[in-house]
Amino acid sequence: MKLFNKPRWHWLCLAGPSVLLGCKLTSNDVEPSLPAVPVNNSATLVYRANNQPVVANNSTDFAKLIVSFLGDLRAVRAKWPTGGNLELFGSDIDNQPDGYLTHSLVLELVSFHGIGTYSLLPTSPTSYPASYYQLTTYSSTGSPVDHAEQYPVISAPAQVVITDWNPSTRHINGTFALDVAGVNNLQNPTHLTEGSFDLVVD
Amino acid sequence: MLKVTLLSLLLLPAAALAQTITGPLASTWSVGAGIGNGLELHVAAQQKGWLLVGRSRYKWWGPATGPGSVLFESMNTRNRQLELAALAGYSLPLGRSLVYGAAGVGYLNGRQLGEYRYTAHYSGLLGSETYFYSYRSYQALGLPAEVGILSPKNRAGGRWGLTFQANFNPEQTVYCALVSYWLGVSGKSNR
Repeated sequence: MKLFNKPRWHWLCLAGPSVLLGCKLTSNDVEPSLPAVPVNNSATLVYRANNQPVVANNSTDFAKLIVSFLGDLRAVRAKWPTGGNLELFGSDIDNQPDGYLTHSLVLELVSFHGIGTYSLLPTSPTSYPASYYQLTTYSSTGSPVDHAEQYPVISAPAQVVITDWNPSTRHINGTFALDVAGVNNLQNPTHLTEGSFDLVVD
Repeated sequence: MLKVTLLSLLLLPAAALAQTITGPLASTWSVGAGIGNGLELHVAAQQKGWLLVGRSRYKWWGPATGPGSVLFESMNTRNRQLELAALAGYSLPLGRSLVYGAAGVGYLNGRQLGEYRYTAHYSGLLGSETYFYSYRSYQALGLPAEVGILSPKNRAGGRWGLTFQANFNPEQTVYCALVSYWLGVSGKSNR
């Protein structure tokens, strides 16, 4: 270790600026990854909205058990009258703390028939699209103060891929991606990507 | 290999400084640990009051506001910072105690939480949540500083200490107050 045998002032010169000021070596902004579905073996729907993760999953605790007698409060659910359209609903209203923006997504799969690819676009420009995305802001007391609906953009791909469907248990999972826009962002659609879900259909 | 090289680069300036001001490396050594709003391990060399300290400190803390900001709530929602630092300084006797101060250069590796993103729910009697934030992952060089007071030497040859540490850097300046233990501090250094 000859270097230690006598003072090496040039090391001080090199280190001086960093000692006085410090310096960045690396710095990366990271979005949290989406959890694998299902979360906690519960009905789950996740996606990214403009790259920011949105997660909705059901859970059970004593308080929810009590209020469940008042009605169906599940934030993630799907219903399918046999032979009709399948409607998939996912909201993170239970996941978001009071005062935070909540995201609701409804995907309607026309003439659902199991595994396959389904377009979310309206069948004609004049028909009201059943699939939509809604942002809602709640006050600190839990009452909605503002909401904005967005619908699939016709010029962009908008589809759901059912990757697994069990007709007897009605367990379903799949993926989706679409662009949606509303009156406030017609020129700047929201990109919903990396969507996936896992639940049991009613 | 890269890490070894980086560590060498970090340690060399402090070592050179010590060589400059004390001559050969000090022969009185101590090792120890600290706990407070962070965890720390250190090794120190001392001669005639001059100090050369190497320390490794890990600190984690919750977001100031938002989900997970309540103490003991969602322990995974934490900022983190690991520091490896080399410091040079000076100590003075205060009765049978020692007070000291030191500064140097340190390498930092950490993550700093950004905005809240989502919550994952878990079932249970009361239920539980895990909060997720966006974050910035960083490495940086900073200026570590430390002042402290060490108690008189006990029968085991060790000293209890109260240490205040800081690391000033462009990413996330951190302050720590630690109760520490220094084993093997020589009585000769009391002068």
